[in-house]
Amino acid sequence: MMEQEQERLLDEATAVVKEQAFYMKRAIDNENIRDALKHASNMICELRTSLLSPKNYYDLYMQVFQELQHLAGFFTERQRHSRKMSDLYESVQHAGNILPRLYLLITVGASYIKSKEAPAKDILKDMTELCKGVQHPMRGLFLRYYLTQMCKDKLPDTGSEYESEEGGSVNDAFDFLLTNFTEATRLWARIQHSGSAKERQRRERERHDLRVLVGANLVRLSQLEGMTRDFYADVALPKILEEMASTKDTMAQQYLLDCIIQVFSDECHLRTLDQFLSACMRVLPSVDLKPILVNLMKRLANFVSANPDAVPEGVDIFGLFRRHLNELIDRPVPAPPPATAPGATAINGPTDRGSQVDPSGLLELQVAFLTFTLTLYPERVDYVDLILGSTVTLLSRIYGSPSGPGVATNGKDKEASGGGGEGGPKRKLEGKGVDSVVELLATPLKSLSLSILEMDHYTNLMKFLNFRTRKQVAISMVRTVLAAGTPLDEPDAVQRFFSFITPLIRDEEDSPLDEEVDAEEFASEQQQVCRLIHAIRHDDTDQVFAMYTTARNAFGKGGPRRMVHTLPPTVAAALQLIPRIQQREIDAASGIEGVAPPSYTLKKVFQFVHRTCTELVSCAPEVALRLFLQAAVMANKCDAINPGSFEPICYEFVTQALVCYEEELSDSRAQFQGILMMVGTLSSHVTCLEPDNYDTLAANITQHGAKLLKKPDQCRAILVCSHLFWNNPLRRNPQRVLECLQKALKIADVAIQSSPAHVALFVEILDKYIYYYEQENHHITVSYISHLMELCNEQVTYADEDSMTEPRKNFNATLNYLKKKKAQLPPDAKYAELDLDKLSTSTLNNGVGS
Amino acid sequence: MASRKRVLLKVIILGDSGVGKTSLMNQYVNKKFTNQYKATIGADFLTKEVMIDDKLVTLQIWDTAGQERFQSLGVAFYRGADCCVLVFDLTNPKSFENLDSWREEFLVQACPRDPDNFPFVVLGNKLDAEGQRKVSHARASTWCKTKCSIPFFETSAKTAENVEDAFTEIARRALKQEHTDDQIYLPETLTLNANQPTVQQPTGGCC
Repeated sequence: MMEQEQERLLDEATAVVKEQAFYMKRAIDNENIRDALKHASNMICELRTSLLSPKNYYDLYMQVFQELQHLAGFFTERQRHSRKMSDLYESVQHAGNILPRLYLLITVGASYIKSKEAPAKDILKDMTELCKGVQHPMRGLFLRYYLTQMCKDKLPDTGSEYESEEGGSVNDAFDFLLTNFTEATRLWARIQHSGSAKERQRRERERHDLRVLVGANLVRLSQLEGMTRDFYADVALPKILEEMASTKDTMAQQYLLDCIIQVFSDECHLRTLDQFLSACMRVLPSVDLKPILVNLMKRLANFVSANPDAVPEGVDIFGLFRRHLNELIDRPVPAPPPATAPGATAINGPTDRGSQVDPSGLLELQVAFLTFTLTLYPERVDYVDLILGSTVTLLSRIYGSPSGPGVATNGKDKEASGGGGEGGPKRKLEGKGVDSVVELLATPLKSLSLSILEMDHYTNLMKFLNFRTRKQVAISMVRTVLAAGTPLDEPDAVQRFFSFITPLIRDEEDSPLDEEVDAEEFASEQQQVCRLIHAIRHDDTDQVFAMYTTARNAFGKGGPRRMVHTLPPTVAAALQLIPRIQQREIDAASGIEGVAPPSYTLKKVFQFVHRTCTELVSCAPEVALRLFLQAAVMANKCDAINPGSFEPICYEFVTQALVCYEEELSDSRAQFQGILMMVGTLSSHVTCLEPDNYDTLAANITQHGAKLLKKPDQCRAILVCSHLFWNNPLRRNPQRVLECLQKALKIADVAIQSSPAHVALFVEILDKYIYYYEQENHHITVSYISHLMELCNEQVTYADEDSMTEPRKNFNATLNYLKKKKAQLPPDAKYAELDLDKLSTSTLNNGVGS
Repeated sequence: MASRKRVLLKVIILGDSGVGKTSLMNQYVNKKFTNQYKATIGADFLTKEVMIDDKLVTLQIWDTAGQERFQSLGVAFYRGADCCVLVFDLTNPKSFENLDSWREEFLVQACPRDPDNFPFVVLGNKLDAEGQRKVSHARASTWCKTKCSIPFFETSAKTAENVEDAFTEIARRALKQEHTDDQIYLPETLTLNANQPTVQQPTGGCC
C-alpha cells in the first residue's frame, strides 16, 4: 500500500521533471537563458516534496541532478549566453522559491568558480552560508550533497588551479567541506527528533538510509590533496571527532567512526592511533565498538605487513590497542541497558542480558586482537600471554577466579595443568563466548612454537571451560599443530602439550560416561591424537625416544578404549626409530667425531616396544600379535648388522606373538589369520634364530594350525605351514614339507565327508604339490601329482553335479598350466612322465556344462 | 538543425571492494595514482572531456562503493548509463567470479531498454602485480566471450598500462549506445504560445 503510493508519487514527479527538462534543454539549445532557468526551476520544485522515502527522493534527485548537468554545461560555455558570471549569480537569486533558488545558485556558482571571475573561497563560503536557509533534514541533506558534488573539483585545494592568494588555500577547501559535513551531520541527527514518537522506528530506518549523504563529506575530505598526515592529525581528525562526540547519538557515532576508518588512509590511522582509540573510549556506551575496532585492526594488519616501515617511530601499536581494550574490559558491569538503537548491540564493556552477563562481544574482540597481534608480531610470545591474561581478567570478573582451592596454577605441573575439571571458577563459560576462548587458545599454535604453553594464562583460561569445551579446545589444538606442521621437538613442551589435551587423553572427573560417547566421533578424535606421534621430530634419538615415552605414559592412562587407537602408532614409531639408534651406536663405537653413544640404547627401545605390545595383548590381541611380529622382524634386521646380538630378542617377540595367539585369540577367523601372519613372518622375514629356537617355534605353529576349529582352516593352515620347513634355506626340511602336504590331504579327505563344498581344498593341495615339485623338493614326485590329479578330477566331477563351478574352473586352470608346460618347446622335462590325456576325456565331457 | 551542442556520456564503474575502481578513474581523469586504500561511500563521479572520432564528448564517470553498506540509498545513479564497466582484480579470483552478479545487478537496477545489447566493458586490474596473478587471461576472455563478446582489457591503475585504451573503448561504446538509446521524449502537453519559438520536433543527438 505504502509502496504503491510511493511509486505513484515518484512517477508523477518524474513526469514533471522530464517535461520541464525537455523545455529546459530546448531553451538551452536556443540559448534562451531566461526560459532555461524558468524550466530548471520548475523541475527542481519537484524536490520540495516531503512525501518520498529517502531512496525514492534520491532517485528523483539523481534525475534532476543529471538534467542540471546540461544547464551547468551551458553556463560554462560563456560565448553561448554572453552574460557575466556575477550577473548570472545575482539573477538566479531572484527565483521565488528557496529550494530551486539554491540549486540554481549552486549550479551557477560552480561555473562561476570555474570561470575564475571571483575568488573560489568567497563563492564557496557564500553558497555554504546560503544553504543554511533549508533546514528540512532530508531536503537540506540533499542540497548540501549537491553543493559538494558540484564543487568538489573546484576547491582551492593544494595544487589545484583555484588555489591562490585570492582564491584561497587548502584551509579554505577544508573549511568548506568541514562546514558542510558539520551541517549535514546536524541535519541528519535532527531527524530522530522530528515527528511523532510512534513513527520513530520508521524515522530511524530512513535516517539509516540517509547516512551516505553524511559519509560522502568525509570521502571528499579524504580526497583533498592538502590532507597530509600532519594536517589530518593536527587539524582534520580533531575537528571530525569533536563533531562526532557532540552528536550524542548512537547511530551517528557508530557510523562516523566506521567511515573515518574506511575513508582515510592507513598512514593517517597509524599517525593518530591513540587519538582515535581514545575517542572510541569516549563514545556512548550503546555504540558497538567491535566492528569498528575489528575493521581498524584488519586494515592495519594488512597495511603494516605489506609496509613494515610505515609505522611511525615511537608508535607502539600493540601497546595502544592493549591499553584501550583493557579499558573496555575494566569497565564496571552495567545495569541492563535501555533499549538500544536498531542494529546496535552494545559490547562496550561486558553486557548484562537478563541476569546473565555476556562477555562474548569482548571475547570476540580479544580474538581479533590476538589475530592482529600474531600478524604484526609473529614472534612475540609475551604479547600473546598479555592478551590471554586480559581475557582471564575479564572472565574472572564474571565467573570468579581461576585459581580456586586445590588447583595447581603452575603450568609445569604434570597432572593438574590441563585438567580444568577440578576446582577453579565456580561456574563455567557457556554460550557464544566459548568459541572465542577455543580460538584464543588454538590460534597461537598456528604460528608459535609449543613453548607458548609454558605461559600460565593458557592454563588459567582452560579452567573456565567445561569438559565438552575443553575437549573442543584440545581437538582444535591438536588439529592446529598438525595442520601447521608445528614440530613436537622438545620433551617438556610435549609433556605440557599432552597435559593440555588431557580431555582427549584420559577420563576426567567430568568426562561423560562411555555409553554417552559417539563411537565414530571418539575414534576420529583418537586418530587425530595418534597423528601427534608422527609430529615428534628431533635430530637426537634420545630426545625423540624421551618424547615417545612421554606420549606413551600419557596414552597409558587412557584406558583400553583409547589405547587400542594410540598405542599401535606409538609402537610403529618406536620401531622406525631403531635403525637410527643402531647407526648411532655403530658410529659412536667407531669413534666418529661428535657422535655420542645413545643413552636410550636399542635394548631399551625394544623393551619399550615389548611393554607397550604387552599392554595391548588383553585389549587388542590381534593388533598385539601383529606388532610383536613386526618387532621380531626389526630385531632380525638389527641382528643382521650385529650378528648374534638380537637373536634372543627376536625369539622373544615371536614367542610372545605365539603366547598372545594361545591365550587371547579365540575367534577362529582371527586364529587362522594369526597363523598366516606368524608363518609369513617366520618363514620369510626371520633368519637369525638359533636352529633349536626356530624348530620349536615352527613345530608349535604347525601344531596350532592342525588344531584349528574348522577342518578347511586346518587344511589350509597346514598347507601354509609347509613353508616353515622350506622357505628358510638354513632350516629346509623336504621331508617335513611332504608330511605337511600329506597331513593336509588327510584333513581334506575328512572335510569332504561333511560337505562336498570342500572340493576346492583338493585343488589347492594339488597346486601346492606342483609348487614344491617345481621347487625341486625331491620328496615330491610326479606320481604324487598324477594320483592327486585323478583324485581331483573325480571330486570335481561330483562338484559339477552339485552345480558348483568354482572347483572346475580352478582345476582346469591348473590343468591348462600343466598342458602348457608339456607343450612348450623344449618340453619341460619334469612333466615328461605326467600323462594328462587320461584325464582330458572326462574333463572335456564334464567341462561342457560349465 | 539544432542539435545539442554537448554530448554527455554516463559511465558506471562496478566491481568488488578493493579491485581499484577509484584508482582507475583517478588514473584516467587525473593521471594520478596512490597506493593508499580509501573506501568509497555512495557514488561519486569525475568528468573528462575527450575527442572520440572527431566528436567532443563529456564523459561522466561514476565510481561506486564496492561495499554494500556504503550504498544505503540504493543505486539510482545506474539509471541513464551509456556504458557499464565491470572491474575485477587479476590477483583475486573471487572478484572475478562476482562479475556475473555485478552485471546482473546492473541490468536489473538500471533497466536499459535493450539489455542484451547494452555495452559492458570488463577490466582486469592490477596488471602490475603480474606475479600474484590468479585469473588467467584465457579464463577472463572466455567469460567475456560468453557474454555477447564484452571487450576485455587488462589494466594497471598503478602504471597506467592500458588505461587510456580501455577508456577510449568505453567512451566509444557509450557514444554508440547514446546514439541508439537517446530517448525521444515528447511532452504530454505542448504549450502553444506566441512567445515560444516554433516548436521543433525533438531529435536524437545526430541525424
